[in-house]
Amino acid sequence: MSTNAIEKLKFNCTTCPSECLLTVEVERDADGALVEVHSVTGNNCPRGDKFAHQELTCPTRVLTTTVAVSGGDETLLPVRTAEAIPLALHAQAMNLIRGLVVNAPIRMGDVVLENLLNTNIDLIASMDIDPA
Amino acid sequence: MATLDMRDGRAKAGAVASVSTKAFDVVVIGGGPAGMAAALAAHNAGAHVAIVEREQHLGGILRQCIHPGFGLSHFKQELTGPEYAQRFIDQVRATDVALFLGSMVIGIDSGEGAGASASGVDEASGATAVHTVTLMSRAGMLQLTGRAVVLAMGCRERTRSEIKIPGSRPAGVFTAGLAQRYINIENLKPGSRAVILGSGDIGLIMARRCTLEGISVEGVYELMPYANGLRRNVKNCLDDFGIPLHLSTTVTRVIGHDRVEAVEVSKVDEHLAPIPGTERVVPCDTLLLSVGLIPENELSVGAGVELDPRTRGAVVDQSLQTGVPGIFACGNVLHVHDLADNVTTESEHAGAAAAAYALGGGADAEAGAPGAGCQLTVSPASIAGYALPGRITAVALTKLNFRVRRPVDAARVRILADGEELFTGKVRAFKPGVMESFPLPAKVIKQALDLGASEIILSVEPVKEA
Repeated sequence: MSTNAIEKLKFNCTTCPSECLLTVEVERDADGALVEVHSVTGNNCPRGDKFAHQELTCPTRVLTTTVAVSGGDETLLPVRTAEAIPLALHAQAMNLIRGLVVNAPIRMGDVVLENLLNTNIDLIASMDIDPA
Repeated sequence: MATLDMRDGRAKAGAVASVSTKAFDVVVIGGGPAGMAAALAAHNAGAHVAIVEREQHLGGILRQCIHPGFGLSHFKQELTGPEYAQRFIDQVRATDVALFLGSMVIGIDSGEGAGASASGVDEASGATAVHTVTLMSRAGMLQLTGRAVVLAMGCRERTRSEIKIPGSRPAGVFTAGLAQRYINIENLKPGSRAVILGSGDIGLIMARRCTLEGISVEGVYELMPYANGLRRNVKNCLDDFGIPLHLSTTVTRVIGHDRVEAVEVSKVDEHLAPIPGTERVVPCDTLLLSVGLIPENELSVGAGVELDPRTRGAVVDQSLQTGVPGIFACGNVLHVHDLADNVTTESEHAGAAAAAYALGGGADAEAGAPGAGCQLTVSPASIAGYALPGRITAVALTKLNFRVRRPVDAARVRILADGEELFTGKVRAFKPGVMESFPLPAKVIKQALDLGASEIILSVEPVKEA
């Protein structure tokens, strides 16, 4: 237990445009695994604290990319995950999304792929696409 | 064939007389975030509005900015660029704002006699000059008249020739935004192994986008000793993917005959000059440039609008009116913004002012009485790179925008007139990537006038912390 190391990390909160620079004190075990987040400072609102904890346990991001469109007035449909998904799943998600083709017309918010990689989060359209 | 027929028809009819004309209160040039926000604000103020857009769709550059990060301040939620655009497109479509899509404006005529061909429609315009906007589309030439015009054409990217990278001239050198268009709109892959020069937001965003699409990114190189883009983009686009950011380093040579084969990079000294002996060759087939944006003002200049050499956008007053009465400017054609949300806020202001002008109340109808004798210029000093608006003609609360030229940990805003300090701000950090704004109170403007000053100075001065 005495081998646990205290580490001070600095990174920006990306919740809002203020981009507060957070200083986070964490305790790691001998293998480098996170034991505990001791303190978060530098945040101007409670969201910074929540962000720091999320970032150190399971960082999540909204994934955005495009899928091919059939019969539309655009070749590609921009898509996004409805909510942030674990960053670790992004590469796998890209492999899955790459093969998709959707048919026009499409409305913003339409579900392109349900429950992406069992995250309970849908892949949705970012924009309307009209028929060609 | 259609175009040929049109040309023949026009030749027979005898040039200008055959060009049909439509009259509006406000003509907005550009259908991106700036143009849509300006048009909606003008429409809401009761004006009859037209938007002219050269693409087939509204939305502007937001259509290719598929990443999140938009709307945090305007909609209080994080949207992608297309979602942010779609919300405005839906609003515009729900109005009777006239849309001229696939239409390129080729000139704005604000001279005497402009709009004479629309005199039948404009009897009520009184003394207000009418601007004539000439546009070309597949259907031919068309003229729109407006008592007010809003310039919302956005900006374009600086290219290789503007930063003068030596070496050969092979295929594979793209501006980052062009590569973004290829990948996100046109379904084209620009290359498979990329080097990115410049840490502006588009460069950072493209580092991530290329990586996700299987294009390996060898690194991002930045001439300055700091990253130019937003912190969130350095974190989410580079750090997340382990893409190295090389500061104080630039591309000093492009290598390759038909296609880029490598670039040579060098470290630079404190004067930004490459240091001999630090050259390193980085194999790649693609060089993306994210080296700055320039407001696209050829039309503005043609209309007689004076530009500020610092912003490369129009010199405007507090209502965002240019030096040509009735011509307003907003968004990235006025000065390059950091966030689309700020473009929206500014453009709503310009659109409302344009409507007020067009409908006869004067551009300042909403901002209080134009002060008789209030003629102040606003100039930047110290590390403030510019100050906007450049002219103040009314004693009213005025939002001053500025950017600093280099990052500082501790500095403060000072407002000066005739050598006297009228205001001092709190000491805080400033970053060049952030477009700052400062609310200049009416009483400070009044104080400057009482001093007999003709100029207000916005100074951002670094301070030594104890």
